[in-house]
Amino acid sequence: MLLNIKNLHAHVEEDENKKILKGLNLQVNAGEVHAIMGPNGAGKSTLSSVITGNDAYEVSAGEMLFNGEDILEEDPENRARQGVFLAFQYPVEIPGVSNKLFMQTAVNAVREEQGKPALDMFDFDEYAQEKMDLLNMRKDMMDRSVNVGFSGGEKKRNDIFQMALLEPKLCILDETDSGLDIDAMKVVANGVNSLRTKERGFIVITHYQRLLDYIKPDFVHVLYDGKIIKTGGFELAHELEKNGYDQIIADYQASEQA
Amino acid sequence: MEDNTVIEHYVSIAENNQNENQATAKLREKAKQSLLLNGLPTKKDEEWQYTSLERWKTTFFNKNQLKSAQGGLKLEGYLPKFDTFKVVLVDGVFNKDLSDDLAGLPKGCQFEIEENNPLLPESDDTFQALFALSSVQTLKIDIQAKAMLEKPLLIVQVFTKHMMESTGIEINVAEAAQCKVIQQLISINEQAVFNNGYAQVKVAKNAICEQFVVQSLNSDSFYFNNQAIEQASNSVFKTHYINLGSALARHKNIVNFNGEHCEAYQSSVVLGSGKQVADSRTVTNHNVPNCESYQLHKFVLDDESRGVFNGMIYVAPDAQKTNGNMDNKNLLLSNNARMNTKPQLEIYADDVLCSHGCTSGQINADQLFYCQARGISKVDAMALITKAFVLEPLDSIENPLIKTWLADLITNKLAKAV
Repeated sequence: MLLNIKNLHAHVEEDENKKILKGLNLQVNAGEVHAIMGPNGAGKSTLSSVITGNDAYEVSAGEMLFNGEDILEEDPENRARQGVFLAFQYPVEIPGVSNKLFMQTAVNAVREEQGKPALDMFDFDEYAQEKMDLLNMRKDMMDRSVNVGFSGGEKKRNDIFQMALLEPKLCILDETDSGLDIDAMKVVANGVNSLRTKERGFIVITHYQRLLDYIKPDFVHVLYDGKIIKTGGFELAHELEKNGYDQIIADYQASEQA
Repeated sequence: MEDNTVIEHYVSIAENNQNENQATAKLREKAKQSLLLNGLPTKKDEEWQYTSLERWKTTFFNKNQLKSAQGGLKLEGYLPKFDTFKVVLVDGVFNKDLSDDLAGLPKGCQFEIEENNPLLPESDDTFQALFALSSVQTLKIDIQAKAMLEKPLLIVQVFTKHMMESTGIEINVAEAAQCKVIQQLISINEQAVFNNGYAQVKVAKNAICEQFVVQSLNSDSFYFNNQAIEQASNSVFKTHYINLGSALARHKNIVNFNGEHCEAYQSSVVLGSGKQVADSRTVTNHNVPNCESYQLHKFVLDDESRGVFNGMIYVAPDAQKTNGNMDNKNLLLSNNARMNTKPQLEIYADDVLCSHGCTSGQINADQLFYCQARGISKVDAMALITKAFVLEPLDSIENPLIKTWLADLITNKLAKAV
């Protein structure tokens, strides 16, 4: 199993009373695409932060195994080097650091972990070029500062481009579709689909069905109040789009009281 | 040490300037009276509120008595590799062996060491008065009208002994001439130096002058430098201050726009660590209409270091259409580092575009996590972000060789600190 999360509890680092994840269970196998949907404040982004090791959140209970190994104590960079990737809801701007330097540093950090030799400037350029074509990236973007002056769509595409470069084992997309117009979304979905292999797993966090129409998840989970309260196939996404979360939440609350 | 004991010391070592011409003697006497009357600045002086002289006061520095050049020094590792015309002073003494042959000065450029009429400022500022009291030589650079110097002039001041140094620098760039001047201050051992510099730069009509001051004195040394810049109409002056060393450093520019359509660019890159105190300040006087000034000053402070920035843009009543921009950004790498910054605008004209801003903060946690989430270690991410932050003022340098050289100097110093 690629990712096995058992009974995960997490709260905001600065305030242990601000509990966000309250006993979450999730299993992702290689080759599977899982969509996580849910209303605002359910804990979707917290889940992605906790998996990638953001110290803004603290895990108080539960287990998280990646390829069978507990990664909760690992630094974010070690998780990334082992193959955990997050496409950010809000990709961060780093003024003065070119995309090229940023990604060459990142790719070589991962390669070092894998025992592969570092790519020099020329090898990296060649390697990056094919991925740029895949995502319709502008030629000058490699020399521009990371995400600085990028439109929302360009930032999201840049994150997927980074994902393509790093070839991770587990890809988490945190509301990658928000703010994307239909053309940009197709490019992003195309990038994701081209990375779908038997060895790789995906967690796609989203509010809407539209990205899922292009990506076709194997499982859809509803996250509410820090837990997965319902799991189904792709048809669950259709149902949510049509009827919203109210009925599912009401059913869940009734079953909790029973 | 008592303040007047300190002043008495520097007055007494200046007494041996004998047989000088009347004008020089008069300026020295004026400086002496100013010092005796005003004493040393204290924390109560607004200009000196955050720049403590306590450590400087504990050591008495004497002039270098030796007038002969010292041989056997190797400077290759310290100097830029690109082509320059180089003038080297070792412990304040011109060194013929280490300098380029003066017969080979670039066309249109004159250089001399003025000893009979040294450039002495008239000012009540303590260190300018100390300079006027003590300075016995001026490096005088004259660029003739329309001369375009492709090769930068490199003035290297190397220090090997415990001493006080006050060599003046006078640069006159005549009409429509262009030049680049690099000034480098280097300690090659642990001997403390009290460098008290003064520079006067006159940029004539349509002339362009770009200046670089790279200060890498050792961490027991003291660096003071006052620069007076006078610009005539349509001239461009660019100055970049790179602070890489010394216990206490204070660098000040006073820029005067005396003709319309002048442009001035002033920048600082300051790295502080240990208990260093680094002070960079500017006064930009828009005395006439239609001039533009731009400034970017960046400090990276680690350990218990302290940074001070003070910038004043003055716009005279009839200096309409002034464009004045000043930015100071600071990165604090440690909880014990401190930055005191005061950008000031004094505007007496009504049709102007002026802005000032300052930000001080630690490395952004979101940026750090973004790097880590891509597999870049926290230490590497901090170095990457810090480097990107601190190199921004170099963006305004057109010459790629100088730019790369400075970027490497700064990056190497940063790498040693991390």
